[in-house]
Amino acid sequence: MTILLIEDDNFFQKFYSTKLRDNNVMVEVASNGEEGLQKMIEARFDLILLDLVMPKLDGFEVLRERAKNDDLKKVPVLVFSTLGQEQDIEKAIQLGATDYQNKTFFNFEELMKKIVTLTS
Amino acid sequence: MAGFSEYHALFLSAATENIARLRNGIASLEQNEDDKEVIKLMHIAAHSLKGECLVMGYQQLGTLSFIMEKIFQQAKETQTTPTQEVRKNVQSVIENIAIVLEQLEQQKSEPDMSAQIKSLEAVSGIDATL
Repeated sequence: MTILLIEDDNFFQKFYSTKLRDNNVMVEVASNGEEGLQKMIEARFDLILLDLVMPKLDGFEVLRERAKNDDLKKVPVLVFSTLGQEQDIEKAIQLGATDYQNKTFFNFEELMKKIVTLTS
Repeated sequence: MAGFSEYHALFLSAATENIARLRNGIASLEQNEDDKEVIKLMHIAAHSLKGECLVMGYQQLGTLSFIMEKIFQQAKETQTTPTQEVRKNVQSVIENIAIVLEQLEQQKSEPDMSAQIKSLEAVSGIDATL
């Protein structure tokens, strides 16, 4: 399984990619929405993990662009939420995000269960 | 936080970078308070710092970062600049967080920051109840 992690924060890039790779998941990282969208177009991923607040293209803009592309729409997107982003989650789901995960109250088992469900 | 000690050095490094971005941003706003790009970057830096602190279990640091995030998110969305009073308070919070990060590097625990939280809530009008 190959996941694209679109996340600008260095800490969360390393934190999530290390945890996923330790669980035999291949991870590609993009540091902003623009780079993420480019990688989504160039390669096929099983799942996108998408942060919402990022420089250049933010997560909402990535979702809007994805919604215009029939191929990209087939790849499930799990958005990261943090405290205080409840309305953002609603907006992300309306823009086509498949599910969300709170990245600050970290539960790796829960994340892996969601990943397995979304990619099966 | 159990099992996350291996990430502590990474957290300190990332948090310190975000504090530097916030510090630079506040200084830039003193030169040009209408700089929308700086406001946007400060929102992102505060948002990142919030996430980093909360995932590592530093609730109060996370709360202060959350209030800063909301201050700059509001400014971004309304195309305004936080008042000088708010900016002064934010500057004080940034410096205090920098000190706390140095303490955390020496294995000390997160100090009580409730007074700072109340002060920043009061001046910004943002309720940071978790």
